[in-house]
Amino acid sequence: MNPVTLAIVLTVFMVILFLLRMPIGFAMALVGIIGFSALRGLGPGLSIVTRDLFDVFSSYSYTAITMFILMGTLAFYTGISRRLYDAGYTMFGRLPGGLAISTIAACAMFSAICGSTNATAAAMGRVALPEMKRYKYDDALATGCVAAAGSLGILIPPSTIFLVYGIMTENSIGKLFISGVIPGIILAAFFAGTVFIMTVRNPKLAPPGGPTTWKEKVQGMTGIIEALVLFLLVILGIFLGWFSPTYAAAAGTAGVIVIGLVRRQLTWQGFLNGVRDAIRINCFIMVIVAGAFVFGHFLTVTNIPTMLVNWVEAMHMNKYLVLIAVIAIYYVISMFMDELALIVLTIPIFYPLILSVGWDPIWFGVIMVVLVEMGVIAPPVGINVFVIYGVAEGVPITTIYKGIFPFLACMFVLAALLMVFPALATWLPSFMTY
Amino acid sequence: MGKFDKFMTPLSKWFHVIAGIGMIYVLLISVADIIMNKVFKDPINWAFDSIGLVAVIAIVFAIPEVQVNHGHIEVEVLEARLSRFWRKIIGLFVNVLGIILWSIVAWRSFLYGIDILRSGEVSMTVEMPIYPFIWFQGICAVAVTLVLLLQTINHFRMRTR
Repeated sequence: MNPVTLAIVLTVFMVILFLLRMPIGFAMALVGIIGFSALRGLGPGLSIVTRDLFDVFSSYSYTAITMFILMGTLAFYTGISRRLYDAGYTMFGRLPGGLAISTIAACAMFSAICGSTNATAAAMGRVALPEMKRYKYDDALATGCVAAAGSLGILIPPSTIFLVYGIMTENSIGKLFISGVIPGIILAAFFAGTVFIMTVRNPKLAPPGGPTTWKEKVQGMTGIIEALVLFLLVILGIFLGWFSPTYAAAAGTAGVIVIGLVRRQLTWQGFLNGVRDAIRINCFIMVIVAGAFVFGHFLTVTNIPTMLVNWVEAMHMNKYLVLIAVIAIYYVISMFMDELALIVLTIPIFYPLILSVGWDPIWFGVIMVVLVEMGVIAPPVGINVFVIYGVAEGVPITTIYKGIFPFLACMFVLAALLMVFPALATWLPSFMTY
Repeated sequence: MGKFDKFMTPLSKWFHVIAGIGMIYVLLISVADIIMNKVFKDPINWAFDSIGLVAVIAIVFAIPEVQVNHGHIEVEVLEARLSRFWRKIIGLFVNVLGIILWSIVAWRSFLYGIDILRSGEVSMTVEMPIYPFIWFQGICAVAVTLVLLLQTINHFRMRTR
């Protein structure tokens, strides 16, 4: 069979396996074996899976993901998420929609120490949703805002998606991390502004919270300071070249443990729970990455990425047209697929194309993360929506989906802004020399 | 069947503990190397190699337990719309494919480990042997295969009841 036809047939088969609920990593690895065997022979096809799995699992670069995940899970058991929420509440609680705005602010700050969307959504959801329920917030607004703000976890550094993108495309992790800061802050501000406008127009959606004293406000600031110290340790560590991403994440994790011990809030059981959660999350992430590597190897031997680039070059297609086509494809696929699987599957195909028409790789990384953020909340497969569905007891999934639409619109606006003003993503990385 | 179940469940849990030890090791060695490097200007020269290799333990030993709890990421769009009968049939089909996949990984990991042992390939900086870690991957692939087999048998039993 012609390699291109084979690739199309097997990709369709892989999507069918996804729909039949085969674990995504397993399906990609299996299809990769079949495809590679068909083109290069059974022996190499069977060997490639073992080698790819071992190469990914033993990659020093990927241990940064392990450490960032551990940092995020321990931060939850150390009570940092709770303190960030309290800090947000003391600042914004009295505003219309104040608890929802506090939640968004806390999510943005928690994103600065946690690189995963679902971990951020789960951590903040467990803290913020009971409070919003207590103050009789509209269910759709409350759950929608946590699901959407949780997605900031992959835009505001550290970010597992930026890490994987950087490793796969051999771009500077530090530049990618720093490129997400301004868009992340803008998006958090858009979310907060949206909540404010919605609640001013319809005060019943979100009654204001109770008053807070100055003492509580000052106490709340300590929650922000510890998160800020951790963020600066990690980001400045990478930015100034003190640490590799793995060591920056390990230093951040050690910082979380020290904070937990000093505050006497990290118990032995909490530490074990944090490690247990991190093992589970790290495992399913790495299985997806490894599976995608096997599938990516198959795609490479089909020569499809090169053919796609040659075809676009021969057609003399406008670079904006190429970008819009790629964005549309990402948006559609992201509605059905896990964020990480989407990235690792599509980068080998679209990254050479994007480079060939002259787009900046760092900027494209940011655009891609924003698209992935849309994917984690957009129906029908919004991972964050499922996470919040698990945390918010008794709220129907349709209500959560109803709540995410205003925030989805904010993400579209941010994507448009990034296209019009690329410097929003590329200005900060321009100060890095490596 | 009960004995098989009673064997696999604690085995997966013990593997999970080993994965946890691997993860804590990566954390401790990373922090120790930072301190040795930045404070004492004397980096641990085996840190880089051992972090990469022990990370394998932190991942592969977790796979069986994650599979026991159906923790791997799946797409749940279609399943909810199917009848119970078709869900069972599809579940069986997907599990069998999983068994084939992990059997290949197990078999080929042992062969790959033997190749590496014979060729004398070691890690780059401090020449640590790599083959035990490839075999760990093989052992865990066997465990995942057994977990999938157990889940398939349980699946079939539930269907026939």
